[in-house]
Amino acid sequence: MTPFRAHPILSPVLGLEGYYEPASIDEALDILRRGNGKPFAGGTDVIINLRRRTVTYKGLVNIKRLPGIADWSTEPGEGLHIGAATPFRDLESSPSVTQRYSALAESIRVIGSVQLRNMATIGGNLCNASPAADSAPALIVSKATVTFTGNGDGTRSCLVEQFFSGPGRSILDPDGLLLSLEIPEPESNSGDCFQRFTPRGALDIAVVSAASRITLDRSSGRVQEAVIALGAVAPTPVRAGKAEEVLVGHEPTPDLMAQAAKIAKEECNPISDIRGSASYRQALVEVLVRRTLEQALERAQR
Amino acid sequence: MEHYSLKINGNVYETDAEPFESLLDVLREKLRLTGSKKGCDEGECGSCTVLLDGKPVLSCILLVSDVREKEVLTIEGLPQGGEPHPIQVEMTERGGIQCGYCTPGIIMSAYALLQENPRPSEDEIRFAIAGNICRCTGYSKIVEALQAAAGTPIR
Repeated sequence: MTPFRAHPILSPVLGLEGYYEPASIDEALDILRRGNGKPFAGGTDVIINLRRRTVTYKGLVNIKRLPGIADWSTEPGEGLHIGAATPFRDLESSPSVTQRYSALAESIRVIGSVQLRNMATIGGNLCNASPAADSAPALIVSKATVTFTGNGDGTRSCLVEQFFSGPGRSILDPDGLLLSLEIPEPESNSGDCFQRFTPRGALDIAVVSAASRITLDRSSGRVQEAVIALGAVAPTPVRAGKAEEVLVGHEPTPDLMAQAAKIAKEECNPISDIRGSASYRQALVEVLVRRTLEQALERAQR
Repeated sequence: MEHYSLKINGNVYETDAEPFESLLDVLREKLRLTGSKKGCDEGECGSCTVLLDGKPVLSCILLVSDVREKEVLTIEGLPQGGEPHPIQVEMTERGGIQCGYCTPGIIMSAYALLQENPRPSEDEIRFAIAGNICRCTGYSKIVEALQAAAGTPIR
């Protein structure tokens, strides 16, 4: 008899030539410019993709030790500043975020699981650029901007809405680094809401997600501005511009919101895949847009 | 290879590892702390859950390099004076365990919850363990066990 010996089932992380932990942004950019690796923070997409061997990287650049990259701050009236490597759970656990940024808080609470959100970062969710990225629709209706290093020296900023260029692709250069997000303070006459549809409550990927924000004219109570963002219905998270237009300048009646939801359904063009058919996704868009508009309105009227 | 001095369950463990090895592999294969389980190895099942500076994380996708200067708590660190933790007692006595593979992860998630919220509601318990998948019990007995451990009323 041979003695029992546990068989080591080691996780393969293949093809890595280097592992870097830069201590400054300059050092990180230098490593990236030399083409030495993929930046990562929480690792909840990058490490998993490596394990599944769906990607290969020359090396890994752990950005979590960069100064300020995982810090966030907010002051009433000043909006929200979030370092790119801030774990979602840090934001979710703070009443100063959850009480003022409803749609963002609702989107964070459904991402993965508690354990995953202690690791997964808000910047990573954007850089991974999934069309179904849960935080994206809420960040779009919140008019969040991202700041990142551009070609050559200096930094650039853009709206989150403009950051994505395709499934898994963003306008970030391969040697660029997402540094931070800025979310403006919501106006008191506005309200927003995020909802998604998944078969499971946790650890699932959106079949469709939607976020809506309504800003009311203070004197007339009519819709001053409407922003509707959809996830998992296009190569990137997208706005439902025609649905927004039909709301502006009008009294936000249930009928009008139902009409806007129908328009959102017609103007989106999803694909069929393992999570749902195109027509099912369109049906979900109508439901989720109507529900998020109704909820956003209720919050705007508070 | 790098050398690491890892603070785990109040002890310091010395080990050599590549910085991109998972904490779970280091725990199980190098330090022989096999209480944390490897289920999916891609952050979906929760059976590898450990606490890092008091917060539940997934040790299968946590790189050992990120554990430096931090405190790790695994299921092996819960018993005090040779006695199982009350969560462990309730899980075994109330049938919260069948095959046992998800159990250490569930207990660590529950422990983290009770540290910050000693008397959670049923909804709060279910939210806290939503990242721990169990294919045996249907969760009811797990939730009852955790309610008992927290001293809250069971439906």
